[in-house]
Amino acid sequence: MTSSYRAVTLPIKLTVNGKEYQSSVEVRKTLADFLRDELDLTGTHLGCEHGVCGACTILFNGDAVRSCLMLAVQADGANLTTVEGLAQEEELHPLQQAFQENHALQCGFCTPGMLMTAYAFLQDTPSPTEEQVKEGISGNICRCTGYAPIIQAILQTSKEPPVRKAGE
Amino acid sequence: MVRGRGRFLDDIKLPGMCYAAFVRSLHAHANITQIHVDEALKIPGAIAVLTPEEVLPYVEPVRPAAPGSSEFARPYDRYPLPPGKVAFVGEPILAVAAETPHIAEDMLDAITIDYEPIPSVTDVDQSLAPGAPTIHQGMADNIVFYREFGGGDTDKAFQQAELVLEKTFHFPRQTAVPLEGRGVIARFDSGLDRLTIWTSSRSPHQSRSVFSTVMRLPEYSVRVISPDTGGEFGIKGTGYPEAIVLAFLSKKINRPVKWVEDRMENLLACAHAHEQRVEVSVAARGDGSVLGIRSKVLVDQGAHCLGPTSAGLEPMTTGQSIVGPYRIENYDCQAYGVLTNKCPGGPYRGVGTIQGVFVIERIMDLIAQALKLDPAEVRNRNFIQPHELPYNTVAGRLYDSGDYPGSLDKLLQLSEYKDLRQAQQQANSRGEHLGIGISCFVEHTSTGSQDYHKRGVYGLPAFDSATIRVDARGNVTAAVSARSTGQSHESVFANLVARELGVPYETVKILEGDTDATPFGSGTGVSRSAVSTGGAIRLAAQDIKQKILELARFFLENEEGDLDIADGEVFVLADPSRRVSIARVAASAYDASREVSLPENIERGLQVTRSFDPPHQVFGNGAHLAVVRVAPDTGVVKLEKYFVVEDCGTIMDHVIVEGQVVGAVAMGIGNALLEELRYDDGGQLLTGSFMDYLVPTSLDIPEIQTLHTESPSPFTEGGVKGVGEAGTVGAYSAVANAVADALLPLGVELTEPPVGPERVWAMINAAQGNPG
Repeated sequence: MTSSYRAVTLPIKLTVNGKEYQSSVEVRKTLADFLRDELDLTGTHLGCEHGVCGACTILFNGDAVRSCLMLAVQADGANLTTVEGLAQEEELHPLQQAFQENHALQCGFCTPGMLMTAYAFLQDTPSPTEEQVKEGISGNICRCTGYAPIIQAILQTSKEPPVRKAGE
Repeated sequence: MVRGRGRFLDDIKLPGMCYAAFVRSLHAHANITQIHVDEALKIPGAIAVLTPEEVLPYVEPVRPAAPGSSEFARPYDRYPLPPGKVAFVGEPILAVAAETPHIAEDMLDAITIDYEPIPSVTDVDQSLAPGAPTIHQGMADNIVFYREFGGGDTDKAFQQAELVLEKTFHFPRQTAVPLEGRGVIARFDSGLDRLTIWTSSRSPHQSRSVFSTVMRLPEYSVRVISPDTGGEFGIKGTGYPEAIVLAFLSKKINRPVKWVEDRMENLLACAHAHEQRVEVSVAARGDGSVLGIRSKVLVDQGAHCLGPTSAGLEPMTTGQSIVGPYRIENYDCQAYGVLTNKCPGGPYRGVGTIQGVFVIERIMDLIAQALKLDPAEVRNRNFIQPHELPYNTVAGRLYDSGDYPGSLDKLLQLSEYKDLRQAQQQANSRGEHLGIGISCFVEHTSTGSQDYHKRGVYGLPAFDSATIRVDARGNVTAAVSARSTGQSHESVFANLVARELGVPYETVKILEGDTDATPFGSGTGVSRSAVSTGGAIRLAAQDIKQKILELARFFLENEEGDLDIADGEVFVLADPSRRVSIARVAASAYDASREVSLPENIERGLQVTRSFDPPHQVFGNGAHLAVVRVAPDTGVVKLEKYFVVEDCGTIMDHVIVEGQVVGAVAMGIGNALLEELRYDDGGQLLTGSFMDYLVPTSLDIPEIQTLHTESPSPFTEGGVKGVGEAGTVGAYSAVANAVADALLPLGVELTEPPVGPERVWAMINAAQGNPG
């Protein structure tokens, strides 16, 4: 069997965490790989590469998406936020602060995806019930914490208005 | 971490780095007759292929328990890449290197392997059957570990028995699935003739020993660095062939090379665990007290034994755990490790213990059922009492401290047990299916060398070490042999150093995960770090403190009275206004003080290395209670309530202990309800993604109420015990017992987790005589 693959690249232009980038990417490269390999934004993690674990969640034009399930070329013209764009300089976003205070991370691998999912969730549901939070993060796998401290952190943040927009 | 600035293995980029991938076996058992790689090497960006034959002349074969040895393990040779024959689907056959990970995978597509399939064995019965194909050359059969042990007189126990139970339990194959998979970067520096390996390992020093043994190199020729690790749970230890192969590959092409497994490789070829069949006969009196147990533990080991302890790891741990926290004086166990053509078995949080505890806790419930007693009462009639501790069990363990009936009593109060039972009666009389399950357990932690010797395992270092240094400005580093993989060593150990030395937390830094920067030691695992690394830190801190006090006298007019340290200052106990900062004192140890010039007979520097080898395993204990609701028409199990009483000796950090317990309970709930690796009859894995290997989500975990008690261990520094695995141990059987309790009115007897909808539904239909 011979590989018939021929590398094809396309130019893309996009905004990530408020900064504009132009690049020429291989069409088969996922958005997650592009962010990690070419922009060095390694906060976006890969836990399954088939869209189940949620570790690679980022904001795509404001919506939480799995960057392992998108190709980089699909992000042409898009406005993205990754976990690196959540804090404002040295000041942590309230969600990040709450994750620290509640011991909502142990190994920290799921944390970036969990934070981005929680951020988008709180934009849509600013005053959630505990059940809504559970539902809201049910697409993100954490193997360490048992979820309770993550749920607490999100509830705590929701009670601290106003939630600042990421990257503002 | 919350900023996305963690530095995990896949985040590391080295200049000139290229990428590896592995061709893996498509067959469970086959001879390799031909390997065709020419087309792959023609792909632009392809760099090299590494075949088994190329590696063979330069490696020592790995034997079960290597680099140590095990008296009860049967030897065979394993090579990093298999010369001539594969023994499980997913076994790495050869490695490729390319300029990008994508091209490396293109190369895999262009490589063809010619196989000659041979009959395979995919469960222990097939493996033990007369005439079964033997998996490894040089072995007479497929039994890789066998040991009989126990004590007392079981014959007499069964003669006296008023109740005899005979049960067989089946435990499914499961795997830890840390969210970050395995990964390795290897860089050979030809100028220094030295290998640097970055690997997400919990035991960098043991990893180095394996590289050095297999590659026939002195240890100084290998440096192992373990970066931030995205979950571990037992699975990122040592002994994986891929890591060795990467080292050879980097040497061959003289470039740094990285490999990060994908989730399918992780499910297919990282360590599996937990698959066992356990047969028990139990002799009990009419009052529910257990007289004796005979057990046969058959562990489905898969095709190989991974790492230094794995050949006997599950057989022995399960066999020894079956007596639980109970006074069982007559016990016989036959413990087998049996090879099959499946992924090799290794550790997974609670390894071996979860099955042993499951067996005895189901037995307690079955006795209660047979004698129409409350399950809590049966346990109370069997507990070892606090005054009997330390207690030598008939299974060969020494329980150190704890109040087992006290833990259960606290659990019954915490959960308002009587009210729960009443509510259950009312619900069930309305036709609902509510179940309550209890699990009481002891859990071994922090295995020391003596414990390994008792198991017949030698050459496995079981001590940990710490080097504490106070610099000339009074800042403190503690370099330790353990490696945190999410257990917060950085803060727990920094707090310990700060407390022991009397310095501010902010002035202490913990160094981990680099064999060049840390003292030799066992590493993380067997819930040991608090005891063994913590023990070494305490000893080193005590020595450093003495030295600081000795030096401080020169600053305090040669004060002869007692001194102590608090908030970074040494003070005279009798007159605390006379004090000197540690920074000033430390400066003198480096000849950097303008006030004091030390006499010549005082050794310079302020640095101490100490080690601690736990003299015995120490045993945490706990009691869990789960409440479930089962929907008989769908088989869906809903966990409604969960309560935990846990005792891990002296608690070093309440937040961390709570985090470990709750996180482990969630994992144990997954073990009990969801997780199952399945193979077909031909040895093909059917559960190769997160779509079919299910782990708990936020919707599967109920609120977990915990209560912590402390029975300090007499055997450890500070009375601490390990706690990392206790949650999984209790949850596996508490949840299963609750489901069994809910299904009791439907005539179902539960002996096989996980109790997910499919199995529950099938069990209900089978019990009621419906065709499934």
